[in-house]
Amino acid sequence: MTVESGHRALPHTSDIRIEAWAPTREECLAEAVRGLVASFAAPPPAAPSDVYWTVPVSGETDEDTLVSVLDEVIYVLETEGGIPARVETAHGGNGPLLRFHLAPLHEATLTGAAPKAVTLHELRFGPGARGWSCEVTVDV
Amino acid sequence: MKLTEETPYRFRVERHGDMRVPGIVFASRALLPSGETEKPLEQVANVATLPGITGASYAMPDMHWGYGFPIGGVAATDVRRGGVVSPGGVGFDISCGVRLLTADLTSGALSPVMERLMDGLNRAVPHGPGRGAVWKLSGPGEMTAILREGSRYAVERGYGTDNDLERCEDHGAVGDAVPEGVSERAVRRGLGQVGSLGSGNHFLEVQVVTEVHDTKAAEAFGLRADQVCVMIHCGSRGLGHQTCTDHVRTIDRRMSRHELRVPDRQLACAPVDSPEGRAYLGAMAAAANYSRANRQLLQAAASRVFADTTGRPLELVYDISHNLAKLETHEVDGERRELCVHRKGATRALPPGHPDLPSGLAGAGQPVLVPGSMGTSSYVLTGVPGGAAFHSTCHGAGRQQSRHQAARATRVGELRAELRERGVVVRGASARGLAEEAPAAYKDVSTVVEAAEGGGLCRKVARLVPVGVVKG
Repeated sequence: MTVESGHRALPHTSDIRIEAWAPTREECLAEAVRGLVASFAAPPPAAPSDVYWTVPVSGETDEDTLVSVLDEVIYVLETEGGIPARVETAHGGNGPLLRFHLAPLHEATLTGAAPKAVTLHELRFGPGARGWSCEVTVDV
Repeated sequence: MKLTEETPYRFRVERHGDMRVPGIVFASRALLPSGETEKPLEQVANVATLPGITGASYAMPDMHWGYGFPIGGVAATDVRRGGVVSPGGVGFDISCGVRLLTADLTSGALSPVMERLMDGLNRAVPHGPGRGAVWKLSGPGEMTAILREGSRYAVERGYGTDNDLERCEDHGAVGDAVPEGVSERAVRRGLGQVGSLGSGNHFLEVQVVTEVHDTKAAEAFGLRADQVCVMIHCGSRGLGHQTCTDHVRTIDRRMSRHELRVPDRQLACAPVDSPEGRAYLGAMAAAANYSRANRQLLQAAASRVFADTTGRPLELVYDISHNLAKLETHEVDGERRELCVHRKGATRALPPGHPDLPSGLAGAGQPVLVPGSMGTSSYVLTGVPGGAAFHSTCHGAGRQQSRHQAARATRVGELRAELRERGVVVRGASARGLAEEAPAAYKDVSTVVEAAEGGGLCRKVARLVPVGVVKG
């Protein structure tokens, strides 16, 4: 890893596996969301609308939090027809959260198979010597 | 991993570590995973550690790397001997399956109207990620009816006939469904998707029967040489995925209560005879019924287009799922036992004379529908007496390349040209989607079917080739 924050796709035969890393837990979650979106869509070039989706990041365990945050990407895609074009970390009344700024799916360019569920298979999320990192397999 | 060749199409993974039973892989040497791709064999071994597993942890010839279970895995657990149910052993796309339809047409009659037909199917069959469906539900009450009654409710509402139900596994609906076990979140995902293909490897193909291997069985199924068919491959969309997600999470958290441990969290399991196990099976049945209704609606939509374009509607051959857990009775060590048979990317294959078959299929056995990779060929098979792996067989060609590998290795322009040259009309596919599903990304379905037949799992009835594809 040569940069502080980032994400990449790892090989998996039928589904997708994403690795993300960042200096903090919340930034790493945001990178994982960016990595998941990048696996299937390029958001439209125009700035996203002011429609946003707020996702708490305080699960029972860090791994549970990662799974529920990525679950929200899928949920918002299927029920709102939106994709997180921009993701930012923020603080709400109940603690840290992520804010997804949504772009309409029909304006995005699909570049891969859309995610449908987040698996627990070889799930990893935690701090290390160089910040936080995670790996997760997503059903498509 | 140590593999012992029992026959040219049957290999044993010897027991090691915490395995309670051996693994049995039905494959030819050429199809066996090797080197860095041994992951599926590790998953066969992991499944063999599940409490109550009976016989062996089986893998079909199209097996490939999944999560928890391999895709192409079959595992039966003994309900009365602490057997568990694992939502991961069914998969996220609960009751994903295949529906095969016929038109009273030969390929020659199709050529003049082919482009118009494919345009019509492309418009009438919602496909791709997100929302968009044949049926706009009036509200939660209608959803409950779908979850309880599956295809039966769709037929009751005019999307088919009673004859269709005769040709559906479980007569169109899995019994003991508990709609209340499907979360509000799952229902919200499913409300706008009833009657839609979805994305990934799902499709609708117009096909032609090119070879009949068993005339008598083909006749019983309603198939003949040069006949035009439609094959639909899809599942329970977001509702099924959310139902699996919800129950894996619950069961994963409660494993310690039952003193259960698994080598992969996605294998999270609960005793069949426990509150968590029963809750999952009830919700799974409801999601399966959503899937059955989904395919019934797509049949109705495709049939209307066929009737409008060619004057001939579509008739149902069979509807079968390849992601399901079923409570079945099998003879084990000389006694009849109730088993929870998980098939994840595997198809039930009932032999002639099986009591679960409708009378019209009693002599021929149950149709097994095996789609090949896009633009190659698909097979109709049937079960055989004494069929191994609790009467199960393959479900498709099986991936051999990751989506990234396939996308990198495929020139989409060339693939489109190749499909055109073979006379396959493609609709609805993005460039990337097409590349990810390129035939080279999959094993050769004919080799897979040969291994399944050689392993004593099934026998061939007919081969079909595509002439039109609507990609999800």
